[in-house]
Amino acid sequence: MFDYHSLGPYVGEQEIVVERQFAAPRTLMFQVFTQPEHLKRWWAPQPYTIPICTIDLRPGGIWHYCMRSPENHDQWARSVYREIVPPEKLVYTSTFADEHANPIEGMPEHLTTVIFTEEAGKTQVSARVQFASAAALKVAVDIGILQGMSMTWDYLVEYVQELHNS
Amino acid sequence: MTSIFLFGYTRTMKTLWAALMEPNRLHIVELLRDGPLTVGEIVERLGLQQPQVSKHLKVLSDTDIVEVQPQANRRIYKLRREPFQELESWLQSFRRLWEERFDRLDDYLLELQATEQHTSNRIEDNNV
Repeated sequence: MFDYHSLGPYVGEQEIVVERQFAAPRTLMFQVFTQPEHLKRWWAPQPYTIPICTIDLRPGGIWHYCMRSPENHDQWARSVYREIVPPEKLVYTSTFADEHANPIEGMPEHLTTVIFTEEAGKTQVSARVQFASAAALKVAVDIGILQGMSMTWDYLVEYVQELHNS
Repeated sequence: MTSIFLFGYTRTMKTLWAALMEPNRLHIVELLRDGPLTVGEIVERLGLQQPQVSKHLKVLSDTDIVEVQPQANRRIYKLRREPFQELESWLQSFRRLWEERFDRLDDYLLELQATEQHTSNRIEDNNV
């Protein structure tokens, strides 16, 4: 059965929010999110590595990095900082890019807002990802959901037909 | 896994996205959401000229967003489910990407704190 709830509460609004608490002070968390030497160590998901990462930490500044697969396939990404409030908040837009930080045309850009909240020496980090052209995305996602549900119905119809024939 | 998924989907996503970013094509997709239609029905509902609609339908069928079913002397247009399901999975891959990233960050912070502990112990030792 198509699990409607697994989509999470935010997909309907074309945004995704992921939160977690870390046992580290907020100032350290902010550094870990904004300094290349730190980011190289954790930003890429396993088993990817980040051999190159440059950051110009100011509004309008570019964060450009390369993610390398174990097969040596490189994927470059580029973000532009929109808002920087140390150590509370970081807002940037991102898209895939080439090695010269030119964005790859035609992909939906996304906006990420990272909020750092300190709670008794620990830090709650909330990452919100919102997509450009939310209207087009909403139509497309709704269809994805509808198609998923109708596919379940198709299977049911087939199954009932099979039962009937046997 | 997540990232392979994320990168692997860029080509499909790019074609789907380019097709949907044109307002008339998005409108056609919205109309077809409620069920298959003939070119004539789409022309009537959109209030556009037939050649224009045909041009948009060609883009949508070239990118595998719609499929055409000939029925007698009519051509029925219908949405294909795959591109939309891919888009939904692509969107979900962002959530998994952040979850994985946070897992790795957790490990990295432990490593950092261990190094820090080690350094401060050494300083204390030196002070003795």
